Amino acid sequence: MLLRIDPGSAVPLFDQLAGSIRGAVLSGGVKAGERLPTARDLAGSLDINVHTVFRAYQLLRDEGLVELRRGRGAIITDSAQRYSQLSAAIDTVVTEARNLGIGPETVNSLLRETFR
Amino acid sequence: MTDDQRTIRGRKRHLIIGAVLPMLIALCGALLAITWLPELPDPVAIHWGGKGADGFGSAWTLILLPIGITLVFTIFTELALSSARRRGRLTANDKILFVGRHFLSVLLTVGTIGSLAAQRSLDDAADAPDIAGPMLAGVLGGLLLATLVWFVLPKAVSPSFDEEAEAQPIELAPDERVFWQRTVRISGAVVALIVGVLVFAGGAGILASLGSASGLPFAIGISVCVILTYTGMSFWRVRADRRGFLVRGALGWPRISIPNAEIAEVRVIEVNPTADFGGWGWRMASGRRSGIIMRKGPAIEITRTDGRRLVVTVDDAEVGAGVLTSLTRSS
Repeated sequence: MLLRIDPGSAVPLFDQLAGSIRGAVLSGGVKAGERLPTARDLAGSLDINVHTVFRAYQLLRDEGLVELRRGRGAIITDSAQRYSQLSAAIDTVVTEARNLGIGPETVNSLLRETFR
Repeated sequence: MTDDQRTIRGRKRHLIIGAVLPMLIALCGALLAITWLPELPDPVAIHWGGKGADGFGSAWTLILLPIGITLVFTIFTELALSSARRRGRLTANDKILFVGRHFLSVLLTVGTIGSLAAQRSLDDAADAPDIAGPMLAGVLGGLLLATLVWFVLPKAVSPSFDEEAEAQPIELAPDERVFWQRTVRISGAVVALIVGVLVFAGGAGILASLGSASGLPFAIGISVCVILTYTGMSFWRVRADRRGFLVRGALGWPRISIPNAEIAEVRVIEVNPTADFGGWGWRMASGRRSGIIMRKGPAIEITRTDGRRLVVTVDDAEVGAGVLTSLTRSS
């Protein structure tokens, strides 16, 4: 599981971290049933505030991607499989968008529009 | 064509010397002891303490023990040695396993059959003489045959660690922070091997406890140690971040941590567990290498600034090594 965050980016750190964990689930770098590092551990590794990690974990819990258990930390749920099934479709969208010269912001808003 | 025939003939000889010979020794010893059955007391002495014979049982226990243990040891070392046979080359580690069969077979056969020989035409097994003689003869005979086989075998090839190029760093923005972690589990074949060892240890424990009262706690103690060691080593967490490289066993120990400042070079290498490291688990190898070896395949090799190397077999080794390279170059 490769996680990366860039304090120089405009995206909030917790959002970047949650996105990075989602990405790791999509690529199979972390699998259902596996435990994520404790918030304190990960905060130490990335040199960020522990509450930032908590916030990212809570966001993923609200999505149903992780389960938070007292004393056991954050565990990836079975919905990880659904995420990886989506990954091929996402790859197609990204490749097509690149070919057509459409930027990520536009693709994002198009997706959001279609969901409505 | 002729080359093909040679390797096939080599394999057959390898099998005969390595697997058939030790079993044959144990079998001959057993057959010899069976012809003594009418002359042996019943029960015979099967266990000796400080004051002579203190455990008694059927002569069959001693007759079958060498065959059983040699067979189990041969089967479990075969897992490792069959791949060496296919490669057609043996490393020193392979050769130790190979001649270990001969040592074990002679030691057990001479030791147990010798102790039966000493009990022939005794009326009461309690008068059985000390078995230090047969056991010593067994050790010496075993060492002799093992040495002989060692020199009959082709010269050991040194494990081949190719000097791969250093791992390519991953691209990072100037302020970007990175964390990489993988869990490593042992493979199915190794689990089978471990279960075999556990059954073997359990069986040996039951045999030992048959003979004397102090045997059972000892056997349980050994089994608990074996189980703890194997759970501790069956599952590892590998991590790379701004603080350095960390490998941790399932129970939090063993734990090896290398700060980034002490990392000189990072590579991805191919590991063959038995040939390169003599097996699975926490291992030592040539060139000041230690290894956490869970399976065959790619591994991260870290060279420390003092020249020692740590090898860890892990999925995604490419990415992990890249992260470490980036981190050590920027610090």
